[in-house]
Amino acid sequence: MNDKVLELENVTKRFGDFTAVHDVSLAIPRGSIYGFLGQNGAGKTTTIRMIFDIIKPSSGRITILGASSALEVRPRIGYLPEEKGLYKAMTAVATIAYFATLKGMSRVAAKQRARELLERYGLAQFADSKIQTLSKGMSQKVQVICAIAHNPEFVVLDEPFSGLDPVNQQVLEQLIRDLAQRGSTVIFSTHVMQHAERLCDRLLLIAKGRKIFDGTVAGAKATIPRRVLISTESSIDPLTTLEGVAEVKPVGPPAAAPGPKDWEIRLRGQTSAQAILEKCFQSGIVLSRFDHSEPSLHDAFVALVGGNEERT
Amino acid sequence: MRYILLIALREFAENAKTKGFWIGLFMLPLIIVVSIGVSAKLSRSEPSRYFVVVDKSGVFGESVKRSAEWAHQRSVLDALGQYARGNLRPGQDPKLDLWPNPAAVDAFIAAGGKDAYLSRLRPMLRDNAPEFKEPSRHYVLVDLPGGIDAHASDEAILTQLKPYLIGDRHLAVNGGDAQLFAALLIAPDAVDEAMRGSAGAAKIQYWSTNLAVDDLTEIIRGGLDYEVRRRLYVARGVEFATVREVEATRVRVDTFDPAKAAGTETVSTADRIARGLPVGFVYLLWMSIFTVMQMLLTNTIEERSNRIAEVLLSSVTPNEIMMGKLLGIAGIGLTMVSTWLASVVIAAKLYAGPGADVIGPAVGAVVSSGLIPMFLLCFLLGYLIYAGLFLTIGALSNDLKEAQSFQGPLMLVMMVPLFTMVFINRDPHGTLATILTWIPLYTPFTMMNRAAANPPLGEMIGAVLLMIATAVLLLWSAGRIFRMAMLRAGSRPKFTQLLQWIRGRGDA
Repeated sequence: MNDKVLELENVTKRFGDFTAVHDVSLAIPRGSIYGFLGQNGAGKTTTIRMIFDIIKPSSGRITILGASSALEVRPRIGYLPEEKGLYKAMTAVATIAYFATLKGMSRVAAKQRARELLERYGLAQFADSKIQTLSKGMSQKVQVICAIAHNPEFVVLDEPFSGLDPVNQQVLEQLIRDLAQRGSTVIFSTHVMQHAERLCDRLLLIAKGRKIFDGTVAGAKATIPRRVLISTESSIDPLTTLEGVAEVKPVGPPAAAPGPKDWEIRLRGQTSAQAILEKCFQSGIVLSRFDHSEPSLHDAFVALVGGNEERT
Repeated sequence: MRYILLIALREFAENAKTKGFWIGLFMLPLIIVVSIGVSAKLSRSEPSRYFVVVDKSGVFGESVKRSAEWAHQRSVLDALGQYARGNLRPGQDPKLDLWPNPAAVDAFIAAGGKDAYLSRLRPMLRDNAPEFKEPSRHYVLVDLPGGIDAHASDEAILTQLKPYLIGDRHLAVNGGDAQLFAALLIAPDAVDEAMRGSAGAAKIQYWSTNLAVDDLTEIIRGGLDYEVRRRLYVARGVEFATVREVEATRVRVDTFDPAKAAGTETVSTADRIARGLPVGFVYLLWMSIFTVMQMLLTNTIEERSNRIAEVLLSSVTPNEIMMGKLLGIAGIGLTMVSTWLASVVIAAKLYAGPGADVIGPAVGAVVSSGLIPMFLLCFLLGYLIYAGLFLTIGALSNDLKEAQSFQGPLMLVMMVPLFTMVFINRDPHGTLATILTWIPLYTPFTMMNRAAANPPLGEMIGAVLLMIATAVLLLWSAGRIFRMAMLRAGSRPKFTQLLQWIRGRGDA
């Protein structure tokens, strides 16, 4: 059995003269939480629509759960679109049950499952309320439940966190982890890096329709040089010549007043921060601050997208 | 198919929950019941009206009195006829002319009026027949109010009568007050003047504030004409009794319809009503199709304006959505139409007002005439044709407001069946009927209208084929547009883009 739930091979989508998705290939292993990152208009939603066979790629091939069209395997997949909306006059429980029956569940089982999920995610008392009476956040939760009520093997959540308060964002994060624990594969798109950093096993980063990174979170961070921030009044010349140091540059505006200055030291390759610290002791550099932190995904994202922009 | 049914089921259930559906469902039956009730109530509760006659001719006063009595006896006979038709045991024939034609009324009066007829009818009535109630007099001749001298001058009499006519003073009638409805002033030489046929000064004056009700003037004129003619005949040496006898003669014309089966060619009143009923059916068809179209339009826009389209499309194809909607809303439409038809039939059966004895058989004739299957066929095909148009409008509009701007011109086109339905019914094989039969948007309405008049079979089949072909074509192109438009947001597509979509090209 193929352990890839989704494979894209050289997928391109053009709208007239505009190329929304350019030659994207990717393979998503079963059971992973996969983040789709990219700026607005980068091609995330177009890619997702092609995955669900809502629009056809101009060229390239998509294989989803072994099938060539998502419609063939629709009971096994779930989708929360970026544009979120529900039938306003229907009750929460009827809405969830309706979408679950469209995914092949029986009406009775779908109703039961809908109530169960509403209870689990704190909406039991609104089960029989009409959607139009729910708050935006609540109706978004209902919609997420719609996407997963039929226990899909493969779920795509497009911007699931937007519009949710911090508490509900955590509920949703837990929901995604639950799904993965049960063995489902989850793709979610976001431009909030913290969610991706906390949840994702792997990332796909696209910008202007091109894939610019596909790999683990650590891998993404590794694409940008590690750095050390120091504050000192001493001369930092001894550090510039140290092997493994790529660049030393001042941080912030050049201070006219006496006192410690801030410096950023970019490290090359696998150079450890320990070496910098040792050199400081040897050279008698008096440190008032020594800050060695891992780069955030945010830094990696900005660097990768920025780099991509420089290239194009 | 499972998905189409699921969507149809949702559409049906959600629409059946709306207020609009229930209002639509009960509005027509309600209107029928209320209008029948109101008209029956009105005819029963019409108040008696009082009038006075100041007769200085010494002749015409009596004529008017007789004429008013005759009119009353006619309404008694009419009521008696209805009573008899409603309460006779089956198979009983009293051998009385109970239709209120002049000869029958004369015979009725000559035989001794309602008591004589009732004694004849009573043994033939059902056991539980209610008592016959004589209708009240519509117009009652009363004496001049106290104090007015009938021999005074016209001016003097009028001056005194006017307060009564205007309503400032009231008559004392049966212990109560009543307004004087009209006064008739007849000059001394009115008879001579009338016999000379002169159109001189006003010898006979009718005074009333209510000139809209003209039955009383008819009654008066009838009495006066009768008297003057009688005198003229006598003056010329013709025996008046002979004249009456001759005038009572009626030539009988029986009407036949060659299109009906041998032996049943006679055209009855019920047949005539059945022939007029297609107009009613056309109206019903028009109402039902466009009520349902409004629902279809709102529901088509709902997915897009509420941004449900995309999540649906991950589960079902645009075609499945469209077919589901078509099916679900058709179910709603059929429910509504059957309720309406059933309520019309039931109302006709329960109806017991004037003419009930004719409406019953007429409804029977409709039920057996094949018009109802024709109606359902026209409804279904008309529904599909117009659904093709409205689905397209719905798919192209982002919200109801946009849809309405498309709908305006279409509404004008759609009014044609209403404007023409009476003319087509009158001349079901004429040029107008033939032309409209072959314009697909009007075919359902025109065929419905012509159905009772047995149009040529070839034309019927042709029209049905035309409707099917149009429905298929419109729905097919609506399907193409619907698919492309499902995900589109923002500005409306240009016409050229639409054509591309229909041809199956272009991108969403």
